Amino acid sequence: MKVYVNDESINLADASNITQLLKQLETAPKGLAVAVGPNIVPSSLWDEYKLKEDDQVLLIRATQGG
Amino acid sequence: MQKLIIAGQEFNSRLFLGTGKFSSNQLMEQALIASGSEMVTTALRRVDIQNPDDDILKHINPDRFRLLPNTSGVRTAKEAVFAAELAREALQTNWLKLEIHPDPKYLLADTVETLKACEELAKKGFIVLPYMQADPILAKQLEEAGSAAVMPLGSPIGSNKGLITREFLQIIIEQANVPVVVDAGIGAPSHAAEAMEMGADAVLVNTAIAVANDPVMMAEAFKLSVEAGRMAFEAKLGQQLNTAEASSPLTSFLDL
Repeated sequence: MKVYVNDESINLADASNITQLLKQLETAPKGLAVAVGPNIVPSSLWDEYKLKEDDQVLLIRATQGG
Repeated sequence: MQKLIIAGQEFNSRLFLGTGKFSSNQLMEQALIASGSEMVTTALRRVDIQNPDDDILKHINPDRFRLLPNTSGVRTAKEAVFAAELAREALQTNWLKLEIHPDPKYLLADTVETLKACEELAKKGFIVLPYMQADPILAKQLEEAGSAAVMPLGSPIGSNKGLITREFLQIIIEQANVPVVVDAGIGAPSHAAEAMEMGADAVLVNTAIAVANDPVMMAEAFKLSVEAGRMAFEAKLGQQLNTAEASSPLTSFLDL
């Protein structure tokens, strides 16, 4: 299936969860926030949150700023 | 020197640092350490999925620094609340520098949206430190809305112009029941010292340190100026007078 991560299209095995997505993207989970559509998904739910076709995933982390 | 207390947390340093504009994370880390600061701001960004491991947090020791994520980039209270919740999730802190400045030219805070967001975020349990216009009425309104401190600007963000709002900062400081952190526009250690002498509880500095030729030395200069300014405030400055008052005895010892 296809999902969008920060507006980029990503191919992913059907019914993958967020932990699996992060693994595929080789993104370290520490310091990361994840939202699917308008909903923020806390890290405690990343294993059980199944992604669906065309989900819009937002991955955020800290960066330099004043 | 008295300790600074915000939301029950003690800080030994009254200098907060921003992490923007440093030429490298290594230099930023050295400057943060040299500043003696215990609170540093970060922004949020979308992860670059081509380069997912570029991580500023590796350079900010959590035992030494409290993180203060900001909401830079949002334009409304609604977006600020969403950004705050993302920040809380990413950084595992409910401390927040609320900043809503939709106009990129002057980066002045949107007062209406800032007040609205502050109220909602405080209700949700965030420790909110709002960046704001140097408006004494607004400072009281933010305080009533539950802000843990107020952060009025000295001059526009990154302008290095110092305390062009000083008359209003003075009123805010006089009336505040929460700590006043002068944020934005502090371009030189003398500006920071002036804010502290005036009775500000802390200052937040970023550009002036990050863009200095030697950011590490500049960080230390700010450390010293903030300490000097605070000590002067606690020691109480003498009154300003319009006429001279002799420091030496005026005995006419040469009169024969």
